[in-house]
Amino acid sequence: MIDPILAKAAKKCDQAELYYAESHSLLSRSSLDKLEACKSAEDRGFGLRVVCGGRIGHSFFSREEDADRAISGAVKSAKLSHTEGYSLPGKASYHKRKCFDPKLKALDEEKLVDMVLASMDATAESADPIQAEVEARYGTVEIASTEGVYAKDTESLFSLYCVGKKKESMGDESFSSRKLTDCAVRVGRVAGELAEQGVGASPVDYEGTVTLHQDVIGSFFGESVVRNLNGELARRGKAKWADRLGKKVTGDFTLTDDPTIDWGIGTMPFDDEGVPTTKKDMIKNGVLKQFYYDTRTANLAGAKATGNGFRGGPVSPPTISMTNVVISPESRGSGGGMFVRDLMGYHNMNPVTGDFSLDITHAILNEKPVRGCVLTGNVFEMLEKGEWNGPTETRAWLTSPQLSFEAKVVGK
Amino acid sequence: MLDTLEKAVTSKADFVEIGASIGHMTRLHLREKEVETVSSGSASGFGVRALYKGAWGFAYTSDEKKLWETVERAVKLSRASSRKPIGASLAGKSDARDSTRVKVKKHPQDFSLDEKVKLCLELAGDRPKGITARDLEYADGWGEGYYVNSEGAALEYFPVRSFLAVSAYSKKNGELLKAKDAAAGLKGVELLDGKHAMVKKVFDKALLLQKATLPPKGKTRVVIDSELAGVFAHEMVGHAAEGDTIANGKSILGGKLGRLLGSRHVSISDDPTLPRLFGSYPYDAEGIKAQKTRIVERGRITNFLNSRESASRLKTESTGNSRAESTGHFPIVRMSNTFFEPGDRSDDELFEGVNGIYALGTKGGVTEPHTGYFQFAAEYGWLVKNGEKTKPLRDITLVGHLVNTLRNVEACGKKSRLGHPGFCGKAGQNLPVSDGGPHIRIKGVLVG
Repeated sequence: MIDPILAKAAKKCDQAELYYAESHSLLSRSSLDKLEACKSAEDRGFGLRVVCGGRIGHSFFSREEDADRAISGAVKSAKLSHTEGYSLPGKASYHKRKCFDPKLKALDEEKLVDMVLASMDATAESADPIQAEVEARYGTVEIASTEGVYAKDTESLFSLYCVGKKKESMGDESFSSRKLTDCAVRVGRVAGELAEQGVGASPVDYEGTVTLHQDVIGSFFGESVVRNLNGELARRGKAKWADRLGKKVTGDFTLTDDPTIDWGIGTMPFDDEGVPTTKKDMIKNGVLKQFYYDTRTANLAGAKATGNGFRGGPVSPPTISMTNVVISPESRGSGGGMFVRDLMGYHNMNPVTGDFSLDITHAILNEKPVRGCVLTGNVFEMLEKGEWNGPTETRAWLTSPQLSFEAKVVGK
Repeated sequence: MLDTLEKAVTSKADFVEIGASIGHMTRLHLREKEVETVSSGSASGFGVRALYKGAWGFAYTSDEKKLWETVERAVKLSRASSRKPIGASLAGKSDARDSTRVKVKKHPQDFSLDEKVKLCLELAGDRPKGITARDLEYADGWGEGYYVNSEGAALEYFPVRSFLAVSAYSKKNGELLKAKDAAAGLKGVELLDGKHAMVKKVFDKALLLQKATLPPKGKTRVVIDSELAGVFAHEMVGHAAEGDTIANGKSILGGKLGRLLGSRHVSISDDPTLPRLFGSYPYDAEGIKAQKTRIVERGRITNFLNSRESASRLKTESTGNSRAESTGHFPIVRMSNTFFEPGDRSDDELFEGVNGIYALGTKGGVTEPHTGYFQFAAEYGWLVKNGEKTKPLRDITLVGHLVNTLRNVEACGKKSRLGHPGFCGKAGQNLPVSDGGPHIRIKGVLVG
């Protein structure tokens, strides 16, 4: 299907690349203790990139009959672009890892409803069920270019999310994997237990050790750390570590971007430009080893693409994104102090300086629940002086132990 | 298109609705005076929602040829949910038949990519001394939207939207400081007309941030500008007043209709009928005509925002606030243009004798609807002594609880500015909205 469109585009430009994505999703959702809806979606679309005189243009379309207009639009875009000297990536071979579970394709709505009901019942053991949602997705991405790239892969994603409430306290838990996993009862139960744990929470003033749950670490990394590993932001001087390549930037741990982990939600053989993905240390024992690049930003920086060019779908050109992130500390501490399970307002932190002042929405101190107070600190100080401890867990795209550091909490 | 959709409506469920859209879009991104990306394209989709014995089924396809099987699929999905149904039903009736076209001065379709790029480059202008980097993003879109249902509604909508965002950066001691502003609405390319002042204001803010210091921490009296007032209205009150959030037991406002929430100075509304604002629409996603809803009046909660579905659960009427990001998304209760109503004070009166902080603009905000705790960040501000602005401030975070904060509202300004645009996220759906209001003075706000 994509070859005739690519051939047509190739006649209008120096290089062309066609990205085709089709996805299928099936979802079941409850509200309170009843079933609310089942939903399915089938989507497909094309993203076209062309290069004219080293300049790149992009367009998108969902119907084949709109291809001619999209080709014309992409060529016009390329001629207007000031980004010069660009060339599409060439032919490559790709690794094989487990990222498609055919059982997810075979799931029907009745089985999803069973999972939702099981989650709700598990939440109800300790709290009122508020919401349970199970989704099974699978889809195929196909990329072909005039430069010899042909990449095709089918991936799946299974996710489950539950919310429970007890008195004024709410708890939520989620799980995601590329593999169908028997976790409905566990996720539902944890949501209920967290809601129960938060009953009677109050603000405190506290100065001492604070230990962060992996979900909190993931949010800090997503808002700040990964941003400062973005090669384009570094090139533009908008990343804290822009001039720190080869230098110590954190404490003694290694941060690995690893798209080769079987069933990891960021696992894929190639990125959305057809560049092979690879396992790589971004920070090795605290030393900054490299930045993330897609092909366009690598071209601008005089660097090599790292296989981290991903799209939000056919409508978006590729931009830099991480895959699976794994934290491996050199040593481990004992943790303790206030255990923080959830914070609110990450987007208000300063991603470059790392300064943060965030509302605690779920924490435990001396076995008593805490909420409604403010944790202040700096992400980069936390990464430099903090101690990794506790079990290593995979939560969505992050595999990490817990992290402890000295901090101040101000009550209201 | 409406004929095709009406023929596809089936009687195999208690209620069926179909939404269809064909959209066209252009986006361009300038960094400095260089065009970094230009992208254009089109997309279409068909979404079907079916209600059967108190539970919903929803199916979507981007392929028009699969419309009939998508209708069948939605019906089948509704039957799966009806094993233990929530008892969903719809308040009122939706049988409007209408066609609405957004008329603009300069339709994006009539301007080539070259012309749009030229206009944006001209707007970006020269970089003033002290500004280290600047970005300009422009997007426009137009299309056709259709809605039919089994109650007889048949609606056509031909919207046009455009969006402009400008960012500027300066540096102080190696630290990057960012200023921004945005404009958007149901407008065409004319959105860009006369926006030089907005660009200059962004440059000026970025330079001012170089002189700014961190605010003193602790509880203080705060005057917020119209943009931040809009964020308070939207994030603090609007989300907690959404009918589905209330029906699902997730809002602190649940069961409090008619009760006092804030001081007599607090009046908050949502109004999708305001002309040309980013969150405006003629009919909601269930075919209900848009209307203004007063959420809070003189401190008392007067209405929640509802879809037909949430209204049924709360035993009230729809306020026309059902929206979906696209035909591929399940319609849920959403805000449109949300704002504090103006008060009776002049600017001088608002600041008279104030010792505290004047907080302007927004870097975002979040509220937990079930507890009422919030955290908002202003873009910048001023230390105020005896009613006079003294030193510029940055990284101002305001934290607190919505009830305490609304009770502490002391005064609202006469002048109101609406239409600060943004994209509101809820349940994985991002929708164009706007907010605003007058300047507002609040005592006892915790600055973190």
